[in-house]
Amino acid sequence: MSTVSGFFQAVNEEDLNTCVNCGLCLPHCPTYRVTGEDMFSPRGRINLIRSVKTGDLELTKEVVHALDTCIQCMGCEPACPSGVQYHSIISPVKAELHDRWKWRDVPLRCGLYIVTHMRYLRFFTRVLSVAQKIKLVPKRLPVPQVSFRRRSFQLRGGNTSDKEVLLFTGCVMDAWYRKVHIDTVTLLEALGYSVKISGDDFGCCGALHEHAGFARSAKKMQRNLSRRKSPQTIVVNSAGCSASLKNTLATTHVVLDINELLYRHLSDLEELLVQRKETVLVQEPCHLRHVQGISHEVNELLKISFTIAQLADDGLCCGAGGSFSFSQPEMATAVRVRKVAEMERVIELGSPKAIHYVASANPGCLSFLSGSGINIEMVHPVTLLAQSLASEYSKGDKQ
Amino acid sequence: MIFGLTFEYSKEMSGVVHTNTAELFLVGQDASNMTGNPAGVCYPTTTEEVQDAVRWARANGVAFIARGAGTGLAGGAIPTEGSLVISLTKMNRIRNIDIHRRTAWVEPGVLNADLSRHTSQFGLHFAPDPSSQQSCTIGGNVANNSGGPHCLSEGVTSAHILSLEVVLPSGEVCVFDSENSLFDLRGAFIGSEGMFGIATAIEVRLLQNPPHVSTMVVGFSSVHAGAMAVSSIISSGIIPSALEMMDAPITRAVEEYVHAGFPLDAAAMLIVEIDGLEHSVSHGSREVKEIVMRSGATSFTVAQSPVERALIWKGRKTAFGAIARIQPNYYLHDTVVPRKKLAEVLSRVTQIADEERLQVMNVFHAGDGNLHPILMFDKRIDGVMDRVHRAGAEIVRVSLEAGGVLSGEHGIGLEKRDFMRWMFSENDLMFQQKLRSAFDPDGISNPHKVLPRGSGCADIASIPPGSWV
Repeated sequence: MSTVSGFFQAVNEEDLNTCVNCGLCLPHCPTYRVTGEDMFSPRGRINLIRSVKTGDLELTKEVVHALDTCIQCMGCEPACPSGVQYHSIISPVKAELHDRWKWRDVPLRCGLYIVTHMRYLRFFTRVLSVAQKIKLVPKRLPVPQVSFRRRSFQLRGGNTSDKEVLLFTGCVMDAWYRKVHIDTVTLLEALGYSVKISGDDFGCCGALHEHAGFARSAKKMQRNLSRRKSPQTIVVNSAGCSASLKNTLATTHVVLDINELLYRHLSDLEELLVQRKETVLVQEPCHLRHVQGISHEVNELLKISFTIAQLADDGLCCGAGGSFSFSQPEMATAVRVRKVAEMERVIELGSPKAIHYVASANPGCLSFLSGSGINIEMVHPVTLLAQSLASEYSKGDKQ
Repeated sequence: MIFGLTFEYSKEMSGVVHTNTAELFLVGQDASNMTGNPAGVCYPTTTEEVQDAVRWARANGVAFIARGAGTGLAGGAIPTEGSLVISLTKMNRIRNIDIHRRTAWVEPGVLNADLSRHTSQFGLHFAPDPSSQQSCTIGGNVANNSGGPHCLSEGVTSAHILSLEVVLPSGEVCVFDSENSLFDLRGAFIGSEGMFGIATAIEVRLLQNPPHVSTMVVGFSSVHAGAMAVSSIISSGIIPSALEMMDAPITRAVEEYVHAGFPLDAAAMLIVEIDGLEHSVSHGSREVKEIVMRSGATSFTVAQSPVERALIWKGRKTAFGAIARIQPNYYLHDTVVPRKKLAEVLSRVTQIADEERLQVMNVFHAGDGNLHPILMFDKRIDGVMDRVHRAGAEIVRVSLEAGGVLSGEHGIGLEKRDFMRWMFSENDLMFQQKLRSAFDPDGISNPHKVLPRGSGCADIASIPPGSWV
């Protein structure tokens, strides 16, 4: 036990020792759920990291694979009675693995480079939209239907400035899900906020990079971001980004996930929204539920207008995991198959047996689940809420 | 290389045995402090594949051990040197549910809580609810005859198993039930800790979810007062569905994690749950309230909603994991004492821990006298393990002296194997060994567990390295 390997020295020993091997995390881990193998469980991974660190175990390719296949959904953290800070164990490990074998993730590195450079991303999006038009893109790829033209924001303005917020538009969210941003603005303005748009120059939050283990790039982006000037309150409608920004800007700004902010106006929204007949199945993004602890809020909001159906899987991950579905497609797909089966079970049990929408507040989950072939529309809850605004508040009528 | 590392016996199984060191290292552990050193692990998905694995092991003279989720605390799932681990986690289908007979056929890898969750659509549940129920498997419950808080009124696992499909150590498949065989061998198999073969399908009894539930949290100014209240409740004729006690240190540790509103100023707290029809629940809880008040309760609250109730149980059931907030290692004990001796034994436990300079916390199924003293320590401190061993053995001795037994629900495994002689005579052990040999003449199914060395000629090997009792 006294020997020390050259690996994982950045992981805090106390964090590792907090794990008592009880196994209560097992069912909350999507990769354990689909494999049933200890190698792919939080308990197993912690054990592997600890033993590699102390030199009791070699860093074999099987160990690397076990660590690579952690989606970092953090479902194990709220489940852990010992309070193991799993993120502070796995993040440095992921970073170290990527640092040591840089060549492994050249394609991923390129992909993420494009994502963070909005000009390239916009260009790529246009190419993608053309390719989609001429049916060159298979449906099962985890990308949504994108449009060639960018819809522009039409800010109404005129609201009092003491309710000024900045809408963080981000990268993929803006390029592929601009509509969600427009719906967010509509809702915020209906609630009397004056909204500013962060725009392309504001920068990326670095969540994708950090998640993929590119710690240095992520750090750089976060540093840049913290230098930007913006209103005190920043609203984010992508769960992955809001989780990351809450960390980055913890000391300087108030970062709110859109669901969190809308929930504060629950009674106002009850006035503004109309009843609808459809049923919505809520798929909770890991970074909303496990990382930010926002869970019932989304249900309460959607309940104003819709009938809600819930999954009974304790918010198990869908497999998207930032860029995880690109780097570990096999594991990601296995996790998704389980999720879709659970959705089908809920539909089977429901009465009536129809789900009209699946709502998920994260672009990664939305696009990855759309690729599953399940024949239900995947939407951001904000879009559903904006559509349910009584007509006098929705933007279309004002113009 | 012990067996060429592939299943040459059966084409289908070849290459299915994993032998990489990292994986073997992980399946060599469970939730106890022991470790073993297996030679391979396989993940069968059907009864036939389990048969293949068992036959192969037998033909090659290799011991095998069935593994579920690895949440056992007595080392029952610790593989012996060079054995084959047959992990049943991939056999996790619920084969069918008969809502009219209220039964279900499940595979051994189905998680306990998943089964109840799945049957909740029919208003049914599987009664045994060990604290690890969210993670542990039905197969493991059968092997250990697991209990749980709600087994006070409903009985432990053996009361809920209707039939078992078992792969015997010979590789044959047998069905144990009460109807189709001369002897009802379920009683022998359930709780046999993997020594009699591997259950590959299990028919369980499902119970109706209670229409009304009342969950009360009661604080007491002393452990003694709490223990006396437990005795008074039972002797008044009320059988609560659960009757649990936690002492002050564990209450504080858990409260920090769940925020269930537990009484932090109390020296001991009881969780009393009554379920059934509305009238009997309200009558029962009124009576419980009177009794605990007479016994000197300092606080009394009732869960006002299912959410509050769930929080209380979350606190109770995750109690042992919450210990890492205080010390990095723990040793969770499991003994049973007569209810009226509860207070006396508890004070002895505290005394023992003091003598060995260890912190101790108590959380237990008070209703059936099942103690779970938890010794906390940091194993990196020199000599601490010796003190923990001594204290552990002493707790067992004190419990037995008070008229108790070795284990309530965790099983004997490796942990208490060598204490068996404190409780059983040579004759008792010999007959248990004979029963074992009837099922497993070669002694290859989870060897060296439960029965102490010398109780039979088949058991002559060593304890896995790193293990301790």
